[in-house]
Amino acid sequence: MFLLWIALSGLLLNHTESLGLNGPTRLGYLAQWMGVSVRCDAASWPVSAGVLVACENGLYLGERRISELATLQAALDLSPWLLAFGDGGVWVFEQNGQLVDVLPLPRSGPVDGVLRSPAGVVVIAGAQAWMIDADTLEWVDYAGPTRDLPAPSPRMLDDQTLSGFATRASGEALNWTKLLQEMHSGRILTHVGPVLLDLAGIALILLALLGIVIDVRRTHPGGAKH
Amino acid sequence: MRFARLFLVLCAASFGGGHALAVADERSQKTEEFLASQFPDAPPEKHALWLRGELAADIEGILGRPSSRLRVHYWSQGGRSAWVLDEIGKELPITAGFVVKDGILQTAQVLVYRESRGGEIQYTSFLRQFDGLSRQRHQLSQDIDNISGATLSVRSMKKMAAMALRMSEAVQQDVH
Repeated sequence: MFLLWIALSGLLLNHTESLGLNGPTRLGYLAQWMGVSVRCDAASWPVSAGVLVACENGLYLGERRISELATLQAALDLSPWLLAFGDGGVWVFEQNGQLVDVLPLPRSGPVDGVLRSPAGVVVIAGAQAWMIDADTLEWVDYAGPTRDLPAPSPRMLDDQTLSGFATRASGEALNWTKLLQEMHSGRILTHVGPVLLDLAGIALILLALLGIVIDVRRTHPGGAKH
Repeated sequence: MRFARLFLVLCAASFGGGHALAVADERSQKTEEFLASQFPDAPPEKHALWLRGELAADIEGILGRPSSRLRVHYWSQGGRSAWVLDEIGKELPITAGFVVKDGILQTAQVLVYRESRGGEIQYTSFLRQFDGLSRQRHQLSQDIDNISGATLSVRSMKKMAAMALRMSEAVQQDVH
């Protein structure tokens, strides 16, 4: 059985790309059992298409991972787009979670505030303010008032929902190649696994050698008597 | 020790976010340098191209998967267009710049190479192979020699070059 295990996992490992096995397993519980643990941010951002949550390995819209984005500072709607602020830029999505573009912030450094204005979304950094034009998806200077504009606010996730996101994120973190490597080496079966597979490997070598010995004895039956 | 490698991968992923700003800055800086070297007389005009319909289908054919973004920026001047694209090599994205004129590649450069192995694709001797190539359906008009140990990086460069050619074609069709 272990020989079959080694052979099958080895074959699959050699053809992960052609077999389409280069993506995430999405097997969250298996990933967590294997020790893959991904933390998610308890602060979620409600948008019209659902809720945006950042985990260590990406940004999730509801149950779906939609982009690489580990640090989410704010998110809000700019009809028809979804905007997510983080990691030095603004990630612009369609309502279905398709990434449109990543707009670098107009100046490097921390963002002091993200505000909703009737005309769009205003970003304050230092003493300056900019707005994202919803039609062109480009930055424009903003000279209007900022004092009374509302800021988007996060909603804290309860423990159960947060745990669900963490499980899904763990499943995304464990890709098929990694899983097959763990299977092929035996590490998936804890510390006993590599020993078992080593024994299976040695058995395979002995079987091959024994086959040669038997074949030589059969083809040269008199040789062994002298 | 159990699943130590998986743990390391996750650690790398968790620290990756912290470097994103620096990576974005490096990309922007290299893009500016690339544009300055390719358009020394005056800065080119920046435009945006939306990948939809037939163009999106062709890009999917080239990449073997849908494009991760719907909008791509490019720069143009005097009939030449410059494209700065990102494509995963083995595990990390390679940023490369291309200049196209009349459906022919004039320049290919690797702007940011992040993988630990396969950096040979940055050498001029390799990149020179792209000069003068055009597009034939989803591929380049001529073969590009593979580099041992850098197969995936070479493949990514070929895909990006074909993408740049297809997108410049779309821009030209819009102009005319």
